[in-house]
Parts: sequence; C-alpha cells; structure tokens
Amino acid sequence: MTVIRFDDAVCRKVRQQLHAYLSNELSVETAAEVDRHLKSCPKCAEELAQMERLRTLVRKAAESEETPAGLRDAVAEALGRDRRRRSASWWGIAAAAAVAVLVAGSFWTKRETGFFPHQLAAIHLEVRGLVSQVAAAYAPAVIDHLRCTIFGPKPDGPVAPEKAAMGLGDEAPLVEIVTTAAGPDASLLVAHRCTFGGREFIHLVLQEGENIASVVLTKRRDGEDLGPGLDSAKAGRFQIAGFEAGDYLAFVISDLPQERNMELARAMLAPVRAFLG
Amino acid sequence: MPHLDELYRSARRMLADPVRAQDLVQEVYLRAWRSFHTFDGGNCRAWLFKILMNCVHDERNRVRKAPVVWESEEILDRQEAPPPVRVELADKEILTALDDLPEPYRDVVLLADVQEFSYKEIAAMLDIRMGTVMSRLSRGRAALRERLADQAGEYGIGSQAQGGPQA
Repeated sequence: MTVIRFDDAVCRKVRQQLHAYLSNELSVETAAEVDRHLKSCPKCAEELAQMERLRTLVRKAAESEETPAGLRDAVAEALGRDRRRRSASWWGIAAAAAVAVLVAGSFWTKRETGFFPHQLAAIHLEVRGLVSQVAAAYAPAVIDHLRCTIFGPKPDGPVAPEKAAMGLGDEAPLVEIVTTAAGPDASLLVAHRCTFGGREFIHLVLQEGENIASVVLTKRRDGEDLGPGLDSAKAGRFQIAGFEAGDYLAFVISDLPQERNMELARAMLAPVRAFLG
Repeated sequence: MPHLDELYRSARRMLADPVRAQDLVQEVYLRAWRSFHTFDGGNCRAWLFKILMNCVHDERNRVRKAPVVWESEEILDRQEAPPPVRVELADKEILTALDDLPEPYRDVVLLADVQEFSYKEIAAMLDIRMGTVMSRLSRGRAALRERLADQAGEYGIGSQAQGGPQA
C-alpha cells in the first residue's frame, strides 16, 4: 500500500472534514472552506472523489439485494393476526372500524407516503374516508380519538380524579367539568395530553356502557371555524360534535347514538367555554 | 409498504442472515403497530428505523456468543493514504466486505451512506452521541476501503492499476 504523510496542515485538516463534508453535515462556512481547498488541491479533490465512488458503489450493492417474495404477505398476515387479537381484547368497539390511524400519519403529515401493508390499505382508505366526510376542522379530533383509543396503552379501569387531574396539568379543572357533564353513567378512563403531527391535544376518554367517547381539545388554527354554536358531523359510525372555546376547538366524538353525543357536548359547552374563554 | 425493502435490506446486512432478517422485519412492523401511540407524527421512516435498530440490538444479544470485535484504532487512525477504490468492483465484493465490518461500523455506514439518515437521526436511533456517529462512520468507510483493497490483493488484482494520482 502506498504510504503518504500529509505534511501540509491544511490538507490534514481537510481530510478529517471530508467525511462530514460528504455526508453534508458541515456548517455552511466550514463547507465553503473545504470547497475552496478542494479547488486548489487535486490530491484532496481526488480523495473526495474516491470516497464518493465508494459510497455510490456501496449504495448500489446494498440495493441489489432482493426482498424475498413472500415477506410482504408474511408481514401483512402477522399484522392482521395481531390486529384481530387486539381488537377482540381491547377497546374492541372502537377498534373494529378504525385501526387505520396507523396510516393516518401518512396523510396527516403529508410528508410521508404509505406506511403499512397493502392489506391495511383498505382500512387506511376507511379513515381517509372518515376524515373526508367531515370539515377539516374535525379531522384532528377524529384522528386523535382513534389513535389513542386503538393504540394507547390499555387503562386498568376508571382513572381516579386526582390522577386524571395530574395528567392534565393546568387544565386539570376539565376533569370535573367533563365528568359532571357526562353524568353518573359514564366513567373516565383516560385524561392525558397527547401530540400528533406537531399538534397538541388535551384528551379525555369516557366509557358509557359499551361505548367509548373522547373529549378532545386542541388549539384552533387559521381556517378552522366551527361557528358560534354547537356544530355536529358524522364520520362513518362516529358522531362528532364540536364548538369553539376561547383559543381552542373542543370536540366530543364517540360511537354513542347521535342524540346522546350531542347531549354530552351541549352539557360541556358552557362550562368549558367559561374555563377556556 | 414502501419502507419494507429498505428495512429488509438493512436487516439483511446487519444480521448477515436472510432468514433471521425476514423474521426481524416482521418483528419491526409488529412493534411499530403495537407502539403506534408513541409515534409523534414526525418522520415515519426514521421512527421505523429506530425500531429496527432496537430489534437488531435485541436479536444480536440473543444469539451473541463472541464479544463484538472492534477494529484496532491504531490501524484505523494511521495517517496513510487510504487505498484507491477500484472502478470495477462487483456488488458481491462490496457486500462481502461490508458483512465483514465490525457491527458498530457496519450499522453506521448502512444508516448514513445507504439510507442517508443524518448524524442526528442516527445518534437518536443508536442512543449514541453525534461525535460517536462521526467517528464510527469515518472508521467504517476507511475499514471498508482497506478490506476491498485486501480482497483485490487476494484475487491478484493490482490495486494501483486503476488507482488515482495517489503517489
């Protein structure tokens, strides 16, 4: 092997930076310095060319590996099995229609395309369908409800009010507002803050008989208007009622009958507005 | 399932075993599925690769018999001109050399040079510092070149024949 000592201090320094330069990880200023040196130093420029060539070859070689034909189906099948098991065991009611949030990430952030196997594409379409049935302002509530009730950790049972309050921090009074409005037949399962797609939510989940209802609050953004009163929508088997409260949008979304879902929202409207307004 | 190929190819190289790699990819999707509530809606590909690296780590620990072999730093840090990269390298030769790299270097080369993740993303995936990503990458690249040059020697190919103006 050829042994060369780089006595030139500049060359030595540049050689150390070439790896980060190649990965585009240098600051603009440092990269410009390296650029200048490369223009005047054929040896360092050749070294960079060698590094680039190796990277291109490694990439090509790695991509020459064929994915085994059956893998896609095997993954889809394993997920399908797991999904059936989970929907049967937990949040069963909500899960049946809604697993799709999984893929919601793809449409939600709009930066990613596709996510899970083609067998789930049908469900993906279902949530897409669900969301497309409602005004844009409702989409966050639909997604947040589905996401936490399908994929969130399973609650052991009703959550104690003190614990629920801890989960909400400054918005702790919402626990009492929501449980009072919901009445004695409903029990509170979850009260937490969640984030999705760069958006923060205050999320409370109630169980009433066989049904699951979410109360979802999120900061209102431009163009998301629900009007002065109580607005409602339907997405598949889910009923949604929403209203504006101060800087927030508040939603009740559930698989309860439409009248009951509206009743819950109506009971919460005044106290939630008084608290957030 | 656009990320399946990338996950499989990475797992295939990281575990150097096609059957285990397939099982591992299934495990990645199952874990992703079950922990979807931890996904923050950001970069889904990076999130999946983070899960992949956790699975790879667990799988290696499960079957590990010998301790990880690290390259001698003495060799890697010498101030020599790295051997030139031949033009006519076959995919097979590259993959053999890659599989032969110590795991910590191989992983970072795959994540940075093949999957094009940033140092920051890789650091998060592997739970290491960015400086460590940087040094593993430069050492990994250098070690790969050494191996490819050594292979050429074994096959009787003159590594200087197609070399650049290194002398």
